[in-house]
Amino acid sequence: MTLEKDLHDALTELIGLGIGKAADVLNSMLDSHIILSIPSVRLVAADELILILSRDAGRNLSAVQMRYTGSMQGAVELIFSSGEAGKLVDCIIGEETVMEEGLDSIRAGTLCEVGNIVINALMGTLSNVLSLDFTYTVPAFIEGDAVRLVADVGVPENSVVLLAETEFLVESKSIRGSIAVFFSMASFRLLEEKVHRYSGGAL
Amino acid sequence: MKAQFDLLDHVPLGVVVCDEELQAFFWNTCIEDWTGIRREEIVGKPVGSFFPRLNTERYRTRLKLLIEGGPPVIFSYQLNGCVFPHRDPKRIERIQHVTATNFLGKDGKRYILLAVEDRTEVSARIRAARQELAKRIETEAVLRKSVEEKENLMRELNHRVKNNLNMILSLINLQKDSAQEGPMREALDDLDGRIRSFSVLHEAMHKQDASAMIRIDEYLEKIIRELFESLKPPFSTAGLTMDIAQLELPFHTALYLGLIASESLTNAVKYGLGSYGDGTVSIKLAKTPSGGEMSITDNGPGFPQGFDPAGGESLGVKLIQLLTEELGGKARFESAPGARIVVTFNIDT
Repeated sequence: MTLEKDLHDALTELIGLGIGKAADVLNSMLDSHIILSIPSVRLVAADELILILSRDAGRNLSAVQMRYTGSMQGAVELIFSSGEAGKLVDCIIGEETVMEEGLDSIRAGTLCEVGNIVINALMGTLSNVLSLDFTYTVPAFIEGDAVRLVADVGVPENSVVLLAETEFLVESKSIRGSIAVFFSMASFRLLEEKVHRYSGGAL
Repeated sequence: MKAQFDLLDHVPLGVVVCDEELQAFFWNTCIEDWTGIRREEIVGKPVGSFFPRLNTERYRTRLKLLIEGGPPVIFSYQLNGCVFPHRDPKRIERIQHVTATNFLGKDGKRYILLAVEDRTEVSARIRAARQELAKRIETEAVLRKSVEEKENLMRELNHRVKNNLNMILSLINLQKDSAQEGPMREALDDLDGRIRSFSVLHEAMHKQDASAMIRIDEYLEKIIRELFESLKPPFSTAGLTMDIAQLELPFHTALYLGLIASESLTNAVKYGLGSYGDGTVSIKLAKTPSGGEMSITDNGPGFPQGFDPAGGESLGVKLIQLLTEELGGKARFESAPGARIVVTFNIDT
């Protein structure tokens, strides 16, 4: 499953814009400086996402999930290995906790806010630039393996996932995560159409 | 329209509804309690006039997006502190987690709903658990360091003891080389046997955990074989049989049994192998209903006529009796037909 080059380039640009806005918001809130980057964007099937996450992030994952409805339907998840999630929270709040795995409810709340900012900025950019209307659920923190995280979205068959690898650089530490935007096939077709229109207009 | 929010007075959450200008439209009883600000005081006024932080850029920017119909916004405690503190600064700061959403009112206007969760109690439990965990980790580190130090000391001590025992054995052997056959030579042989049994036991202890039990079969077989080889006359065809039960015994029980076996074996080699040194010495150790029993038997002439273990001058016999008493047992000296020394012992001692 691949993205044609123009579509890939346009989506990479849009996601980059969204992530840039997220970094601006985070930097206006925090004492520590955060740099956000998107090393890669690709399109994968839900089953493939499970394999990729299991291989790259391990069995214990922490994620912030928001569902959206409106012009398109689906969900967005910002996913980290639990270790990386804890590291990100520690870097942001400038603490070092002794907990090895998983996040307690206070730290989960912090990750939820960070995920909320990243997802809002990303989806806000898509919605503004591509003239889409979304209604969102409240951000939720979920933990589990890749199978659970994907199953929790409750995606219909033939769903596709726009997967953006993300890298948070905070206090000279690099924390890797993934943004997964789940689309129904019909929603993805609409996104394709909107992006082509945007690219055409831009060109 | 305000009446439709009345139900929110009964939820265990602080609920604030603001209009587009961030003026309080609804203020539920829970948030009244947590902030000390009554509904009549705040409704119709800018929430920021009571909670100035909401007027800062970082909050206004994110709340503005909500007013425009944007996605929900989270204000977590670690990144924002207590968003709605009590008006009395002496009150304990609550751990709040705020979720802001928007909705379209029946009047066509957009409103912001702020749901405030109080996570103070769960936070206190987490803090207590963290402190406990940190304390345990610290204690464990101290204990580990102390164990390490103890192990290093023990290693050093064992090394020195081993060297010293070897040095004593070398000195005795040097002395034996220059001693003529006779009482002096015999006394040095006895001493050599006794120290050797200490040395073997010490080595066994060194290899295991110092507090561990000693496998008596392994220990006795080693000291007896070594001692037998060193005591028996050159070119002797004397035999040695051993039947030692596989028992784990405390250090001091093993040490005493080792000394008793050494003394008995020395006696058997001296008097029980016959003039050609071709006899056989048998050593047995078994568990009995009341403890354990060890016997050392030779097929020589047996104890001399009128032999009285209690009245003799032999240091070896005295040692055997003394050590057996220490083990809560009894020693018997039999001649039937060779010499046979039987000691019983209490396994719990």
